[in-house]
Amino acid sequence: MILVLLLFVPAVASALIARSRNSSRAALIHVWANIATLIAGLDVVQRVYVTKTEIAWNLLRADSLSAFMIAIITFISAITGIYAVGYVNTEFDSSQFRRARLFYALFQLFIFTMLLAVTTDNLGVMWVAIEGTTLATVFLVNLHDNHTGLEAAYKYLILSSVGIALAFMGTVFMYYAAVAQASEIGLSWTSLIAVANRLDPTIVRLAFVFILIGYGTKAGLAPMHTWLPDAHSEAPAPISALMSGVLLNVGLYALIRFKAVADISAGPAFASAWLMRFGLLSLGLSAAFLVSQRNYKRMLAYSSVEHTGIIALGLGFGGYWGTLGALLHMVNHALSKSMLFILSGSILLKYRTTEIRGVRGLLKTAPWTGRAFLCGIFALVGLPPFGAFISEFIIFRAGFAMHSTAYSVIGISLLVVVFAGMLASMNSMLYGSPAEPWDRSDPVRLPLAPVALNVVLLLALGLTLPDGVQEFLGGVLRIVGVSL
Amino acid sequence: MPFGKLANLLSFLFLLMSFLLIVRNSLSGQVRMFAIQSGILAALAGVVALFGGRLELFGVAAVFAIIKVAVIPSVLNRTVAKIGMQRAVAPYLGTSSTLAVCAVLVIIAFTAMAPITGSDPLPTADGIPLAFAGVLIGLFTTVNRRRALTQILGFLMLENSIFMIALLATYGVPLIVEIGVFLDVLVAVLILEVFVYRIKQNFDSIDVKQLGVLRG
Amino acid sequence: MILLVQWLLVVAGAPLLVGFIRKTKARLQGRCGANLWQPYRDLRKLFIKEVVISETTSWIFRFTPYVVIGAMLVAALIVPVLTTAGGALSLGNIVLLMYLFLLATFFLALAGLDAGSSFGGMGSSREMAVAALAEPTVMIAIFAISLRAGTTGLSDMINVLAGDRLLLLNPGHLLAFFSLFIVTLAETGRLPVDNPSTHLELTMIHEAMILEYSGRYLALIEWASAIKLFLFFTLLGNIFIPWGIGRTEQPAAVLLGLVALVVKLAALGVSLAVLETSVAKLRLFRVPALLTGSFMLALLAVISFFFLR
Repeated sequence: MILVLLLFVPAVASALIARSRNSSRAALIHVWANIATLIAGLDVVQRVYVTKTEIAWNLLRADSLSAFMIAIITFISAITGIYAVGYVNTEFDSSQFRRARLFYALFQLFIFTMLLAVTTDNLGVMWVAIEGTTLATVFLVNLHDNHTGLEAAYKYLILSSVGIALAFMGTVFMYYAAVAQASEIGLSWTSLIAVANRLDPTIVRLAFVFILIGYGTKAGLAPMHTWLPDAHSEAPAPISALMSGVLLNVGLYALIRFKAVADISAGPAFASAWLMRFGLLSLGLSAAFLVSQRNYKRMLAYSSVEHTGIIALGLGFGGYWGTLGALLHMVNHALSKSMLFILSGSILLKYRTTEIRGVRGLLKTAPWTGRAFLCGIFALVGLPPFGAFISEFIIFRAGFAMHSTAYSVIGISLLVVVFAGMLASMNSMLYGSPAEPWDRSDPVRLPLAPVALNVVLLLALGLTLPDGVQEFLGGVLRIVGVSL
Repeated sequence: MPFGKLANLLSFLFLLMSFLLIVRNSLSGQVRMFAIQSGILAALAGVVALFGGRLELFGVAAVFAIIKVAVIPSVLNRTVAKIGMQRAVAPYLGTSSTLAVCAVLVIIAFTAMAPITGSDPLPTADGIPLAFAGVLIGLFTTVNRRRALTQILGFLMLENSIFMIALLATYGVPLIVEIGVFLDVLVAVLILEVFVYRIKQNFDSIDVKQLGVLRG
Repeated sequence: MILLVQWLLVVAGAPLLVGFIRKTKARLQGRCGANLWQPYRDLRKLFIKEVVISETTSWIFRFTPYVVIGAMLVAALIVPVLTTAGGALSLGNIVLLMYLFLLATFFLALAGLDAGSSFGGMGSSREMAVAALAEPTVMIAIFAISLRAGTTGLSDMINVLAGDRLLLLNPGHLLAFFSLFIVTLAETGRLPVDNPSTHLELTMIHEAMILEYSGRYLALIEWASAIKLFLFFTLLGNIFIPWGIGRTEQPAAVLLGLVALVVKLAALGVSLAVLETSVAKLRLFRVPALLTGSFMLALLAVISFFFLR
């Protein structure tokens, strides 16, 4: 039942917001919905941790992997949602109420589709939900309704839809392979895993390639990533935070589900090889574009492609440590990237430009924002004591252990390149003297506070790994078919 | 036996419509080709329902016909009318080269689908490579043509072809998935219609090459 | 004996087919139209008239009309019109037939160049461009059909194809039909490839090549065109809808074949008339697109044979 409640809250909130009359009521519903979703999400996680699975209806199901994703989604959306109130109040004045209302309503709808994607057992419904995330976010990308926003939103819609259609074709092929074994199997993932060892490997390989291309488009793997820099940089900051931090992870979640099936039926080497290739390509392409970026939001977007590549490399390296590192990195990236995009929203509100050149002396003009930005960038490029260092270390060490030395070496060198590029940009933004006249104030204060939680969690993940968390992750790994 | 041959015939006609769509230059003509193609696909669904004994496919065929033969083409036609006159925009490849590439894509489709066709016991299996060729041609349409509406039609052909693969390989996917997919496509088309109109208003043409500002 | 009857039917009946098509077109366009037997009167008039030959022509100019009519008369011998039985018909090979047609086209093109006038040269080059695209299509479409039938002999082909009850459901068959129909339009110079009743410089292909001819030469060439159209339609009808044609030399079978032939020719003639009335002539540089399209259809027909059960 709790699962139904989990999905019910954002859906109903979206409908209620769409009918609200003034901005403050919409914001209120929005914040309460986020908090309620967070509580429900944490409850699901706690239940799954204690028992092993939870089934609501025949379509909804939450195992450890789903609970893992639910935790990420609800937590990040709560933090982002609270910040969004501050952003909307500063960005839109009272005459643009309709835009604000559209923003909140689509925000809740977006969360609903993401939660649906990770709590369903039926692979077809998962597909419908992921396509739903695209449809829900398109108007959000184009919220400011200017030329560049229109271009970004159109490219996003067409590329995502075409990519996801290919993923559907892969799903159909997988279904075909399953039906050849047991005719009344439906598209349920659990039954697919159960018969996975009897599926025809050739067909499963064919299906997996399409699924990788399709859901990889959604996750931001190169070379299907071309929509990502445009869409994530044109969207308003809270939406970019959600899209980069959470939606890419939902795409990766779909890939993990199918990889579990492909590993059993076609052998782990096939899926791993493809994931490693795409992962390294994503790392390489993003590093190349990142170092010459002049727009800080695009820089962060390319960094998302880079980190998706790292996660794909981790999944490709495989084994216990590779997959564990990938899962940890999903969490770390979600925390750091969402925080950074939130802060970029504040920077945009203060400086009114997205050019790196146009931002100077951030530490002086907006001290809290600047300090958090510093922490965020450190976390993002993988410096200790933040969590990303640990997860990247685990991933690349797994690469060496699995004898994929070339991939690891090239990956690490690319990470160094990205490190240099991002730190250079960050330095030029944080230090120096700002243009006259300037005043010392953070544009968004109180709603920004929850970002501190992000920093704390990143530090915690970088310094320790509590037993409870490790046991939980062990449960997730068992679902995926990996064991120590 | 007639089931297999009838299915093959309809599959070929489907593919033929893809070719006709990709070479036509007028937008309303392209929409008409799409509507005819969807009609052929609905007929194919009906044939599979009849001979394959899956009665729920009749319902699916009916919903499909309503959405893709009536609703979506009318939405697209309304968009074409709203856009009004445009300058003729040539695709990246000319007609003869386009047809040659399509022929190559058909051959690629047949070679790629060989493992599936070989192992599928259903009598409709021969049409699967044709459906996959439809997928490739839909992708090619999206890439080759420069007008936004034609790109959308390419995407819709892609969806049609995937529906046909599901139909021919496994006599359709579970009903709830089918309905979800239809809803998704319908909403996507409605959103795209809004976007094409906005693009026309902002850029005064629906040539996608105008959308090239964001680079790097 | 039956062979002679068939041959006479083709040779004598070709102008009637042309007259029928013209009459149907006229009716569709709301006109009364010329008499059904008008082409015969035109031929008789042309045979009586004086021949005027340009001084700059060579022997090819005078030789060509005889080559053209000769090729057509031989072709008329080897196409099964009323029945597939008969001694000489076993020589009837579809490849031979296509090359007889091509021989006539080749000589006509040469003759067009021979007079040294610009119209003639223009017509010849256009005709060769169209033929260059149409011939491979014909070959591939024939290949598709003969793969199914297992032979390139016309009579055997028809006999084999008539044995398949579900022939019309076969996609390869239908694709080859449409492909060959488009090629027929190209080879016989009908709309939308070429307008048979125009003399405007921009729109002529076939007419431009024969512009210099007069008198009995023109009569022979016009007659040969009529026979070519008749033979193409007979092929389309008898190969793709092979029922009704006689299998033996019995009078009853031949009579049935005659009735079937008349029905098929009438149907094809009416469809051609409707097509010509409803489409405009294609601009010349768009003709290759149409012919590439028909090549694609033929290619798909071959693919369908190899990959479909």
